[in-house]
Amino acid sequence: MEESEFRERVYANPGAPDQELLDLARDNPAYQKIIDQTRLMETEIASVLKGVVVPKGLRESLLQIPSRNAQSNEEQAARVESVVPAVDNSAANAASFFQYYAMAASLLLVIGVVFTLTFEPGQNELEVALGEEMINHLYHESNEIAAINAGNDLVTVQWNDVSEIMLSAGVQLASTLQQNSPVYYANPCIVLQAYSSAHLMLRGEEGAVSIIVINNSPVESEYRIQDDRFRGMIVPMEEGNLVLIGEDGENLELFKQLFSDNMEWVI
Amino acid sequence: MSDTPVLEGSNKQQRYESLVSELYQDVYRYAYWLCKNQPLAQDLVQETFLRAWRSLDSLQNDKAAKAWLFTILRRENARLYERYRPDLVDIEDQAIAESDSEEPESKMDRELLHNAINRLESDYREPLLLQVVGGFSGKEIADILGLNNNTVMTRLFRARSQLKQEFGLDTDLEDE
Repeated sequence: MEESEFRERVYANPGAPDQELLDLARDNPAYQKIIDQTRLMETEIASVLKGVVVPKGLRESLLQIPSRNAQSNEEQAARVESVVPAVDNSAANAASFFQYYAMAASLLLVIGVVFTLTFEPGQNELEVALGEEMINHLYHESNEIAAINAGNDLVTVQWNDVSEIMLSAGVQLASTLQQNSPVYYANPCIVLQAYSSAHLMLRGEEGAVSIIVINNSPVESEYRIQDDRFRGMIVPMEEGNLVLIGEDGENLELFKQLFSDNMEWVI
Repeated sequence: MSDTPVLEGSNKQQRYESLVSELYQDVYRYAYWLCKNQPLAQDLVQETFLRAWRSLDSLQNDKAAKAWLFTILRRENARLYERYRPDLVDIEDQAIAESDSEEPESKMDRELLHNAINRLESDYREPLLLQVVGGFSGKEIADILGLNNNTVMTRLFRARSQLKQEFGLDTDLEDE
């Protein structure tokens, strides 16, 4: 067997080379060296690839998926026909915004969820879709919200992590926020058909307050969103949208002021 | 054939718990190397197991469970890529475990190696991940990636060949 073919077959499966290759190597020290070198390197490759640290608590979290899924289905059923925009004050949006949320509007039809939406003059369907997407997103994080609402054993997210996650969505936070606003949850998040976004949770008077930044075309003007449980607002900023959502009765204006004064779009 | 265990338990909940307990670590590691970001890898794994739970009844052969999960994960990652591409690459951070027996004289620099793996074209890196992390055979990798077996073996060869070249180990026999 040519050396090139021998090498190719060893490299393709160094963990279990064919007996034919092992027999050839037994009579050929150079071939044996190829096998030995490749196996040595394979140990290193496996060590790196399988050396990734699995996060603590992941298994437990995955085991809870069936119960979370059942709960989510119940909540979804309860929320059918309940998501209603509360305030109408927006005009037509930028074309790019339409593109992002046309998909959201279409999806609502595709999945067959029959929301009874109240379209007030000036409030367009796509803005409503964005609002629904935001509130739906919160129900995916219901465990975290419940934990923050309960207020027991809350763990503050390291500020460096908060900053990095917000930066991934294009937002730089002022460090003064760190003293005033402990953050109990921070994650990059996925908003339908949007650019990068990030989700923080803080604690207000009524419970968890979500701060979501979306790095896409700002809506034309601020508007409010709500369902049976949550109240929120979508606030256009220089390069994107700031979304604030909390439990009914929460004073979101305070958080809006806090963040709009202490954040800067850098991308 | 990969070493996927037969899932224990007769009802759906028991099968699911067995699936998670046996495979979540491999699934997470695969997710991590696909998206190169810890929070996103966790999200991908959550979404993968959520979809697995919802369609577990469609899994007829428990021995195929690992390939099934990895396939779901690949699809989720592709969807994620379409929707959201973060500017975060934390492949060099503490997610890579430190070896407690590191000997620089005799071992390749681990950091250089995982950077080199990370630089491989995805066409080469993915079969390597599936073989090493997933423990899949060439045929199983071919099925997961929708390729023929020869293509998979060629890509595995090229992946390791590139890594060896980077570290000066791919010497010709004539030179030795």
